[in-house]
Amino acid sequence: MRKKEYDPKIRKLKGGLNEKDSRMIEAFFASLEERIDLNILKRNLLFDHFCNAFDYYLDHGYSVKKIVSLMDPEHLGSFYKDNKRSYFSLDNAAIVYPLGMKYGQMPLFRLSVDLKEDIVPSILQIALDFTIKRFPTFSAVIKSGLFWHYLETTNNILLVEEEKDIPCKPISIVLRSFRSFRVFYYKKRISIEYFHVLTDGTGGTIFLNTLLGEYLRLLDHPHGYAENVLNVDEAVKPEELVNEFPKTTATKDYGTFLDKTSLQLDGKLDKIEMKRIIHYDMPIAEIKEAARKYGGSITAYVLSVLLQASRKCISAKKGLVNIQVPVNMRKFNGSKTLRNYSMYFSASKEISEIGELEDLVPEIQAQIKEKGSQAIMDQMMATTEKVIQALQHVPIFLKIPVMQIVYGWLGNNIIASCLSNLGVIEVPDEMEPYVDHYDFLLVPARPNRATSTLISFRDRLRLTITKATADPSYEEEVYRILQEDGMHIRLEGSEEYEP
Amino acid sequence: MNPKIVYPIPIRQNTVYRTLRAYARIFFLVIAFVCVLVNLLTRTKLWSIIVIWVLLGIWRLIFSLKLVEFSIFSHGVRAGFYIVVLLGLIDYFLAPGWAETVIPICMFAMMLVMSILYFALYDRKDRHLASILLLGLYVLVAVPYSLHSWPITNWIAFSFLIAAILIFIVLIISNWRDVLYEIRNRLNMHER
Repeated sequence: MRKKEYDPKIRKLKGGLNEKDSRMIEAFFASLEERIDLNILKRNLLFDHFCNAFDYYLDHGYSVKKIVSLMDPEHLGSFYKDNKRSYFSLDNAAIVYPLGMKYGQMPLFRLSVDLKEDIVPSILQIALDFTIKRFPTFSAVIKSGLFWHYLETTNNILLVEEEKDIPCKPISIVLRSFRSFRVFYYKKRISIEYFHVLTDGTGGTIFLNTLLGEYLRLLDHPHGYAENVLNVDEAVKPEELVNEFPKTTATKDYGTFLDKTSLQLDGKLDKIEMKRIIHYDMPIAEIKEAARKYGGSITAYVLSVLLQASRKCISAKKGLVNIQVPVNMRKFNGSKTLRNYSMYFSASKEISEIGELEDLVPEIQAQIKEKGSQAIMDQMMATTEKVIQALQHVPIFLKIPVMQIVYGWLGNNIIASCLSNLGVIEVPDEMEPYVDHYDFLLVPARPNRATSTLISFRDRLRLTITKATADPSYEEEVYRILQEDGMHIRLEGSEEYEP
Repeated sequence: MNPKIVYPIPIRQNTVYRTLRAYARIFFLVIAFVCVLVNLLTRTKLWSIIVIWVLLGIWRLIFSLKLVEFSIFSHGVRAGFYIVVLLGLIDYFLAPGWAETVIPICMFAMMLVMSILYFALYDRKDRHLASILLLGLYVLVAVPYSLHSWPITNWIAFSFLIAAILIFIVLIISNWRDVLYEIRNRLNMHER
């Protein structure tokens, strides 16, 4: 009781209020106190979040009754009270990431949503405090076991930060070893950068949308729930935590992940992994029409455009250009898992044979149909499972040096770049008016010079290219090809980042 | 192509550590090579092994930090491991006869400091228990070694090791549930 009574921030909050409101605030913080069992530093941090949010609400004319109903500590559940730790094995896709990780290189991806109004940091912070309990694997830290890394849940308090730095910089382990993702705000944008061990693009989108839904609810805007906007107060569903890979029914395995090495785009790699970001924002209707004209899907069309641009930006005259395409396995079996559940294939073309889009698009479409089929993906999953079983009892200190070499070779040299298509992001009708667009960023893995993503919302599609070199010829070539094909493009991006 | 800039101008990147690391890698490799060469040419005691171990230790402790589970505890235990092995190497290759006593004292001191820190930072025990268990394992490994010349035993060394083990046992008994949970996790004993 003494702690509560003498908390100066709460006393300050009660300062200008009438007795009834003061009592409500007191009851609110008493209820909050009951829901947490944290050390004094963390407790004060959490109290600060609520005090800051109170400040915002009071400044904006909300009644105390309304504030208390919006921020009811019930939404915290028992997350900050329950110190129970849970163990989660890494899924088959995630298992390789910490093994292959090197200094300054961390497999991160970023999803962001731009709203139509400026972000309120204090409310976003409360939204995060409420949302995290719904995603137990996201509030986890990565640890080393004797044979494998694993995730262990924590109830650490996560902080939203103002975006000030280059996107997707490795998470500083010296200061922040307890986090596997981070949340930023910048003007109208909320961004989340995920360490890939936690989830893939689909799981990341669901977390972002759920956070957004909670943020809008806290601002008293209309909001709703859907398949990719979860209710933070409902119980965690077991199917969301499942590692789906071992469930493959393939009887035959894929054989090997080894592929022929790919040519790389020209350009000197810099000390930093991300040199520049370019977003090509265009109407879906136009790109659909272009893809239809050549007889392919949007993915096939964009892959063909990227291959054509690569031809201009690779000085070698012979060799394969491979572009990796992740495949969301959920589309085959409707899995609800929030963990990694993607496989991949490479769209390939001999550089000297990369011709006009008329010929290229149907060929790439055929490759997508064949290489990205469920049967092939299942076989790849079976191979992954087989490799994991074989390495099951090899100690981790032996796996790490081997995997660092193998992962570097398998993952990076066999592709020139990657195109990840997250598809159309759908949110409940009530939320749509508040959202402008979504963005999706991947970091090029060395020695790749570029990587690309596609994400659509309502009637617009955004192609994002992240570059690891200063040479702008690749992105200019992509722009030229798209423009020549009748696309009306709005360009956004970053300055050139310096090391 | 003039995109609208929608990202903040980043804060100035601090590349000092990265640059130092790059230079240190080359410098250490050259030093190691030269030392081995000089050692072999002069046919003196194998001091170059000690130099290489020191360089490796500096590299691992300063320039190649743990990417998973970095903490004062894990770093402390890692540093302790390099120091203890270094003492052993100096004793074995250069000046024999003292490490048998000094190493157990070091291990006792490490166990004492780690245990005090562990209880001082008790609410973050989940992050540090594994490092303490690893340190305990090192101490347990050292016991049979200290008994290798039985019955002529270095009683000072043995006493310090026993003291370290006692601290370790107290720590385990006072946290036995967490210890069991931690061991189960660390051995990946859960179903995949």
